[in-house]
Amino acid sequence: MKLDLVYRHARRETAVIITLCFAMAAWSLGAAALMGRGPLPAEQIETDAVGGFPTWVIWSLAIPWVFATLATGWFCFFFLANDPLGEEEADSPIHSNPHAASRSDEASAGEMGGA
Amino acid sequence: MNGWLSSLADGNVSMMESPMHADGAPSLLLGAAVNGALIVFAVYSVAVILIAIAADRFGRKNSFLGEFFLGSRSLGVWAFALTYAATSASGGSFLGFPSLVYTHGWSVGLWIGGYMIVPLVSMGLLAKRMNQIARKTGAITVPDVLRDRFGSSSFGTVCTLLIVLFLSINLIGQFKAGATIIETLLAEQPIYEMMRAWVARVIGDGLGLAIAAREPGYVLSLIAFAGVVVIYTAYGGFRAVVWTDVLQGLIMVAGVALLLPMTLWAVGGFGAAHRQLARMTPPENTHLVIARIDPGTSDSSSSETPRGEVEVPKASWVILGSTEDGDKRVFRTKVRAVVAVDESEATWTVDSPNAAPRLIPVIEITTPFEIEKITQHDLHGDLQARPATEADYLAAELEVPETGYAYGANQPGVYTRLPGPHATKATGFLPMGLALSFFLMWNFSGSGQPSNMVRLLAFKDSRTLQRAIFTMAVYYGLIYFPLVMIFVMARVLLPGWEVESDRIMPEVASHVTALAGVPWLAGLLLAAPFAAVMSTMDSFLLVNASAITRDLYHRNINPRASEQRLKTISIGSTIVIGVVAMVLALNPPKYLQDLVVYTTSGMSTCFLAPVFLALYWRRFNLAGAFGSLIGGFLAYNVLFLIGSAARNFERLEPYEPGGYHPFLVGTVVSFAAGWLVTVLTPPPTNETTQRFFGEATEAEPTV
Repeated sequence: MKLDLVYRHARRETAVIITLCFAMAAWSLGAAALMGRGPLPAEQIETDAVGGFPTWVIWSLAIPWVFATLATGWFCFFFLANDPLGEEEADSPIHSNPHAASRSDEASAGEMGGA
Repeated sequence: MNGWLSSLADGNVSMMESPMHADGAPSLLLGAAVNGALIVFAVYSVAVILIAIAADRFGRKNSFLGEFFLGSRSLGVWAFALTYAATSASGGSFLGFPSLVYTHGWSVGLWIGGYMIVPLVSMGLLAKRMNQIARKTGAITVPDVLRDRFGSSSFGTVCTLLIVLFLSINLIGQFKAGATIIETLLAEQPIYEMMRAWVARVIGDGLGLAIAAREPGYVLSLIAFAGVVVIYTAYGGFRAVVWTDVLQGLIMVAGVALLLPMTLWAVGGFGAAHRQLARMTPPENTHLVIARIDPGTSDSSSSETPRGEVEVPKASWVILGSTEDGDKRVFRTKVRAVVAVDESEATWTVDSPNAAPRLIPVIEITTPFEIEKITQHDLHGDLQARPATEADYLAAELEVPETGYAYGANQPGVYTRLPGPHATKATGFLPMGLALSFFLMWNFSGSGQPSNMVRLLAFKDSRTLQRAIFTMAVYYGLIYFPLVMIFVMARVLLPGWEVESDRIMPEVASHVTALAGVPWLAGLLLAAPFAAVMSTMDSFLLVNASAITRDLYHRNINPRASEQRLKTISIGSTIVIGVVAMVLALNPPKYLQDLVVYTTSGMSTCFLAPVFLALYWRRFNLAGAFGSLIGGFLAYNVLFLIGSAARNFERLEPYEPGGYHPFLVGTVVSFAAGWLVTVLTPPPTNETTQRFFGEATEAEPTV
């Protein structure tokens, strides 16, 4: 059996998504663990900041957040394939209810009772 | 009495009510803000109902079922992105989350940090395959997809029943949250209070429900809020929900965009805020006895102490110590207390059998510059000397030794560092194991939520998906990181709100708009929490109605039902579910918040693995799907059972092995069980595999 193209693409895309997720977790949490944990010496408490942000926030949240948004952009516009997702089947409720025109409420009520 | 208390100059209390209760200019400004909230709620309610009417007219040409529950699978970029984002953002995003940031500082930034990649994971992981299979099978609900993938109506029915069970409990919680938000934001507004009094009379006349008798404001808020949501959801269906979600999503981001610069301006810039935040230490918990001053010992200008009832509102400031020696101690009450007629001491309505009514729970401010700010009545910059109040006739004494935070007590810088302060946990707010747990949970639990999954069935094409994921990534970046910044600064602006930290969002909105001279703008900012709760409630309501109409009735009981009958049942079930949830929310279960947390991650634990494996693993079969569903369900519930048993079932709390959330443990078990059962049982038929995984005839895609 030859595999469906959308399926093959989606599988490849899922692998990248999961990899990106764990990579961002490693970056964000790793930087936080290295730079943000525990009390600072008294003389550094007020000075350990960049533009009013604690230094660890810059390296484990602000920069990764920007990077993750850019990576998401790359994924969406350069990696996620623009696959056709297929047509609705003829009897799909999206198109119509095939019984809408032909069956009355009374008939349906009868069927319901017998169900 | 503790011996050292006698060393205080006199023990007289200088009491200052919470700003929302204050007299004078600042309260007038705040009053205008609250009026604004009422107007915003009224305008907002009318707007969403008009949107529902428009949505109904727009969708009339389409098939009812597909239109009512899925918007005819035609969502474009903005609708898809914002409905997904708005459904994910509940009232917690604008009340609970700010409260967490205020209480625990920058560590909450890491707690929510997983949201940097949530749009990609929660939408991208399943979207394309879910949508494709739904088109192949004509599915309009998540159980529809699963039922067709495995060719089993029993599996579809089990999934439906689980969704109805979990979402119904959650819906009660959302209704309660919505009513509480309305009650919080509109309290003390004259029209609201007048209606509240009327409701109290009606209830008193015999409609008595236990909670209603105590809280007429809650009943009024619940009816107003739930009524609006049920009406527009029942009338306009999925398209109305999506269109209102778009409005709600825009309101949320506009609220944040306005609040951030105003808060920055109020605090004097981010650098100044950081320097003050870095010097802060957490408050301590203790109790005061507040009593009338005996005639003749009062410093009050009045010659006689009144004997009538005297109220000490919740969040009142209490300042002990003399002005001369500068040795002042600042407290804030956590509860409302009253000195009854002819009684000498204030008492409060105790919340546990072990609490003493005369011991008023308070926090004590410990940061020197905050104490100075409060004692100089400089909380609002322009706060003037206050008129004499009943407080001049009261005295307070500290009777119980104060208790510091379990992590962070007397530790400057704790609000800027990890793991963040915590009142009861010695490990702090966010140990690293828990941070990892939340990072993964935000991402993968979002994927597994049926209310999110159903939106993956509704987008128009792959191009829409591409743009929507990126739109949502930008949107989340504009919401969550700025919210952390705003409420970190709120700590500096408004000290002492640990006593009622869920109020910090409306307080900040009122405060910064009053300072900027545009108090009417607070009402607009307060639309964000309204929007957040409504957008979650309507989605849950509709998923529940679709489960009953499509999954139970249409596919099991009467597959040949007429369109008119389906319409009647859809609208009827939406109204009935909404009304039942509203009635149950009048008397919510004791541990409702625990139940909401339990059901939210419980749904994801049950559904993520079966859906993921159904979409991506050709060998995955019906037995494996049951194994995965049951494995996740059992693992998750066993962890809650162990955790709750350890607390003698006084709370619904999970056991967290290794510090990992039950969602993660349950999901791993669910995947493992799905795999194991599948490899031990026969594979699906070739026909099934070909239908869901075989090559389609579409043209080659373009990237």
